[in-house]
Amino acid sequence: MNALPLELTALAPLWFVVAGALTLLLLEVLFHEAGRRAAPLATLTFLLLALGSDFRLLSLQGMPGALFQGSVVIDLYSVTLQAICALSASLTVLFSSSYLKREKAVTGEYYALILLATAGMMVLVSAGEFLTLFVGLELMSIAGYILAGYFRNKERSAEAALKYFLTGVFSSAFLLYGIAVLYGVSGTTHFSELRLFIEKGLPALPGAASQMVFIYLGAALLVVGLGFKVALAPFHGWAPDVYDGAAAPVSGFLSTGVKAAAFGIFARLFAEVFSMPGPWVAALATLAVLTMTLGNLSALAQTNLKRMLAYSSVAHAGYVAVGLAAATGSPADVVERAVAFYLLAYTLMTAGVFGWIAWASGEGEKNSNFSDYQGLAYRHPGMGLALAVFLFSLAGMTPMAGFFGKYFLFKLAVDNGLVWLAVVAVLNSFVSAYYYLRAAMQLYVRTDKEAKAGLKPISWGLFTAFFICVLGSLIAGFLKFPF
Amino acid sequence: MDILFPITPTHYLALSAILFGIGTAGVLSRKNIFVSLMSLELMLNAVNLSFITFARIHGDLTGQVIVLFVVAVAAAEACVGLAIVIALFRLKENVNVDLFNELKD
Repeated sequence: MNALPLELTALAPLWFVVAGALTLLLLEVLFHEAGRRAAPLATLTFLLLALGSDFRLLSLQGMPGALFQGSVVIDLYSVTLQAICALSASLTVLFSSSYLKREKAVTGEYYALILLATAGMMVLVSAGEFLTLFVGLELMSIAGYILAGYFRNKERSAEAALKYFLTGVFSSAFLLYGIAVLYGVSGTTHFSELRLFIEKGLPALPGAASQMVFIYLGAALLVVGLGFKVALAPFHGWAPDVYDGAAAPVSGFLSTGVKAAAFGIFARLFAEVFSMPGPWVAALATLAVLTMTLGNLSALAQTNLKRMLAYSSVAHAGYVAVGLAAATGSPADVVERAVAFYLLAYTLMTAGVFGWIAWASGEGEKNSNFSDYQGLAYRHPGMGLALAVFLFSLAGMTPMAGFFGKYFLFKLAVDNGLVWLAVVAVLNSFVSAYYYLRAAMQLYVRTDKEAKAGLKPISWGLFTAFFICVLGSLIAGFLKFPF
Repeated sequence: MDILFPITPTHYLALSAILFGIGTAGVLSRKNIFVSLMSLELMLNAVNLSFITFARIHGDLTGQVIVLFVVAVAAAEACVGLAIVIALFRLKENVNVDLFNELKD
């Protein structure tokens, strides 16, 4: 048998997800009610096939590298991020299935949209060129806008969709302008050629100084565009509202998969293309400090678990930005490993915590205040412990995945002479520990009030998802990372 | 128009920057969702003008191809945007952005 062409096999995860999305769209049309019931299982099958082909790629001796004339790069980093995105989507499907049943909103297109967004993420993290980056980002974002407004009859959900949409397109325009400026200066849209242009071409050319200004301008516009997507302060205004207003499993998906993919390519750009000293180091460090501090201080004031997590998710974007600011001095693979590990740890604990809210808050997510959870751990010891594990991991307690994630990023900053930045980040971690532990404590408060939250029993799908998240948050730091 | 002065690529780039600025101001200041949507389209098309100009300067087709992709993506975005507007209008019979303020601290 002839070997399949490399373009086909190396992108197998993407093909599986796209095929899944198209199948899901047909499933409901062809089989009506039966197709609707089979949708979660079918989605999971395709996602597991994608995950399986990611693991097969990771086990290969040599990675395919650049494909399609360099438009797509399949290396250890992009395959690892593809796997993280597929993991995030799988967890979302497991959490959504019982959530949608409870809210009486089961449709086939919900799962098709999740798969389409996942396809966009896979294109985005594998991009080796700006047009591919843009198309992947938009595929991911457009599916995300619809998912945010999935409960279109609820005002909160529709408002979340509006805010997500307006800021999303606004930021895309800035990103695109950045791409245009970089293309205008260098005449290329490929990351590798742009890097060569910045490195070698510039000093020799006449008028080099003025051209460098345009490189800086392009990079700044890229930071604004991607900064909106990953919710770096001061571009984070939409994030708390959207994560608060969207359905809990969708918020989980938007704050793990979508954010992981956007940060994935953000890190690749600044570790591989703009990896020389420049004004972006100071800019990213400032953004990191602003994001961490604003996110954590706002989270302190919240009394609603979902909104607190929305702000905590902003703060976590700041921690990754610490790693990005330190990207100039380190080898690209060190930066990318630290970012990828953090995104994996963050995906496991954040998906878990939003899934937990989806389960516990009851119909219409009415009970998501701290006071509603009081004494929950005595009725559901396992679930109480699960939330405690997620919150401890988010706070960065020692043996958990969240600790190792932060450790690698902050170490990067220290190694590159940004000690002050690492100190600020650690201080921020202390602040965040206060509100995470306060939330965890509520579970173990004895109360006489009537129990409101966490009344539903746990289905097998939910159990599996929580098990993966808890186990992952506990042991991810001790596993051998792919690269 | 070269009786007055020749129009060079720089003029197109300046025009593109001005249009982008107008679009940005429109998104940030207007309260009607439709005006915001139109301003967003203006921003994307301003960038398209830049891409075409740069493609012309470099004698390279990449910029022109990107524009085709951007037009397609903008159409998809407009479609989702209008769907969101319809969902909002059904809730409040109004499309003023300020009326949708349930999510805040």
